[in-house]
Amino acid sequence: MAKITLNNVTKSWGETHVLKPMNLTIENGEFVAILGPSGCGKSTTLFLLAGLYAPSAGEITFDGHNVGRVDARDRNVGIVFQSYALYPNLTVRENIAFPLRFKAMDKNEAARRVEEAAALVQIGALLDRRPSQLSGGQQQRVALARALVKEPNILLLDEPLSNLDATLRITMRAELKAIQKRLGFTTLIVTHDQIEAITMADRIICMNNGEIAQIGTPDDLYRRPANLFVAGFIGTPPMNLIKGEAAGRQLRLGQAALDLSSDRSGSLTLGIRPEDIALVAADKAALSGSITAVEPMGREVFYTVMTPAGPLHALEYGEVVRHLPGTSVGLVCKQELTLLFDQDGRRIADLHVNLSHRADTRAAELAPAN
Amino acid sequence: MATPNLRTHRPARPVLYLLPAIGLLTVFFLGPIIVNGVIAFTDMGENLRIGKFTLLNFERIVQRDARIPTVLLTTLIYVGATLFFFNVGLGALLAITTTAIPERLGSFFRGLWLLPRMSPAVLYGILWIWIADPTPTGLLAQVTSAFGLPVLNLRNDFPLFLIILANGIVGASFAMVILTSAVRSIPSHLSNAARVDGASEWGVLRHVVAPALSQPIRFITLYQALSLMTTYEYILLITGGGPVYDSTPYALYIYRRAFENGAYAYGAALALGLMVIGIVVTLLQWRLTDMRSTFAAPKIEVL
Repeated sequence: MAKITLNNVTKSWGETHVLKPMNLTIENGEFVAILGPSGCGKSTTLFLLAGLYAPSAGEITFDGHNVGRVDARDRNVGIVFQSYALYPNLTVRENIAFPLRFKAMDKNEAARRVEEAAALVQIGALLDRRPSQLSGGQQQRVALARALVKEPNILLLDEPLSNLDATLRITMRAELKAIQKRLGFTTLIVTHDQIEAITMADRIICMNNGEIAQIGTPDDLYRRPANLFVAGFIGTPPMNLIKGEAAGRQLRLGQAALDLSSDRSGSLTLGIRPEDIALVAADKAALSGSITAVEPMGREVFYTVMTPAGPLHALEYGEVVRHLPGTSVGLVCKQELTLLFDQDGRRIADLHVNLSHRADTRAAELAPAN
Repeated sequence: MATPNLRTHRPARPVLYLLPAIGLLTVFFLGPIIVNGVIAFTDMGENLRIGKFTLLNFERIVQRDARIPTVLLTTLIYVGATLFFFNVGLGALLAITTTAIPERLGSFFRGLWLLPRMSPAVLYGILWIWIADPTPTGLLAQVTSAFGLPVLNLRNDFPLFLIILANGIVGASFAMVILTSAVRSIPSHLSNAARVDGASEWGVLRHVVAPALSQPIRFITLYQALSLMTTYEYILLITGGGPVYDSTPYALYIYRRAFENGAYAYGAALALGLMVIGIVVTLLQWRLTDMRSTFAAPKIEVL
């Protein structure tokens, strides 16, 4: 178990800068996910921590010791590779025992630890098989046991669930999380699957183009994305993002104009999550439009609404389709859930638009009665 | 209404397609074996006439030919040493080293090692004669005299060593090519896993690379053993099997008996013996090295 820090760590292959200066602290016993699209530098970060790559610049420390030039074999790191990387010529028992070969360890003690690790991941009955005789899920458990048996400083998981079928993935997700909490190893999981990162990790490092886009709890990333990349990457279906121009108190989006919570000028991007939009009667909202697509998805219904601001997606919970295509609806959203990003893509804290029920609705309704 | 004239489609007999191949096999493979088998039981000599059918040739091999034990020993040393040190050992070493260095340099070296295989056997033989020539024009003689060392006459004093070296250097490329692709096919994460697990580079070689090479090495050993046992052109060119019979393995012995001494029937009988040895060695290795699994469907890791 160790506390890990990265100080201005970079990695380049010739002219290609895979990792821009990176600063990061992972606390002892923490479960952290590195999340990002492929090619964002997340696996490179993992290999740097494992010692399989040497950093081009910067400092990597485990518990305060600089390990930048320490070989992989001396870092006491456990890795579960995406393809599991089991030794095909060895039995399951020999595979798990493999890291212990290189430690001066009593034979009986080693055998005991192998049994223990195998029991932990529930493969005690498979110890005499060879990897080719195992299913994907079983191979992964063996790989996990092999990584755990040496009681590593840090446990690195490289897309560990991506080769499993959907059902098994859900099981393993919970199991990995439970094992990590029980043993308390500092754990880093690399994944492109946000569900994996959100469900398992205490903190998520979201990466893009060799840079950290945001570090935070799953809730931070979901509710308070630091920039447009995180806003668009996290969440399925993705957040609605509409470009507009602000002048004074007004935000002009296409043919529509919305009220801003404070004065602003210049290009802005409005972001609203589909599930935060409520569909109401057309005359009760500042923004309205007509429904162009209805997609029932079982637990929820996904609507596409063509508004003067452009097409917007809305998600309503419940199985019932309440609005048919062609219907006019109004779109409302709590003010604090509307996010605004400046022209560099950074979110502007405390700036929102007013998409609540129209203030003059009551007056408009009452008017004919007068 | 006119019914179209539908001709029932009759598939051509597969035998017709196979006929050319069957013909070639019969004329060039099966035929010689049968002819050889018949001649082995005759007294055919230089005049190519068959006087009578006899078992005398076999009696001579087993009881009267005093050279046979020496020839067999020479064959064993020649095949064993060439196979172990060069055709497998050097080949594996080349495969491992040329894949560890930068790609272009590695390809260059492998290309160099393939040159002797591409050059005509006669040229290669003459080169070795020049290298081993004890006169001042010989390469080795020039090197040794430059260092003030006595001149070695390899062809006279160490003929077996010379033919092992010459055959080995040309033979190593076969294993090199096959093992290079075997080394390349090892997934990189497997070596990485071993490094993370605490293995040194030597450990990676031992625990990851070596197991991956063991199957192809078994195949190479079998294949090259048979090929070394039956070919002799370099030996014939470089030492001629001499001095006397010092560098004459079994295959060359057959040639020398048949074509130098004109004892065709005896040569045919000896050749029959070689065939038997070849079959026995193949079956034995098949049994010992579990060759069936080599040719079975590969066990590829689940991705």
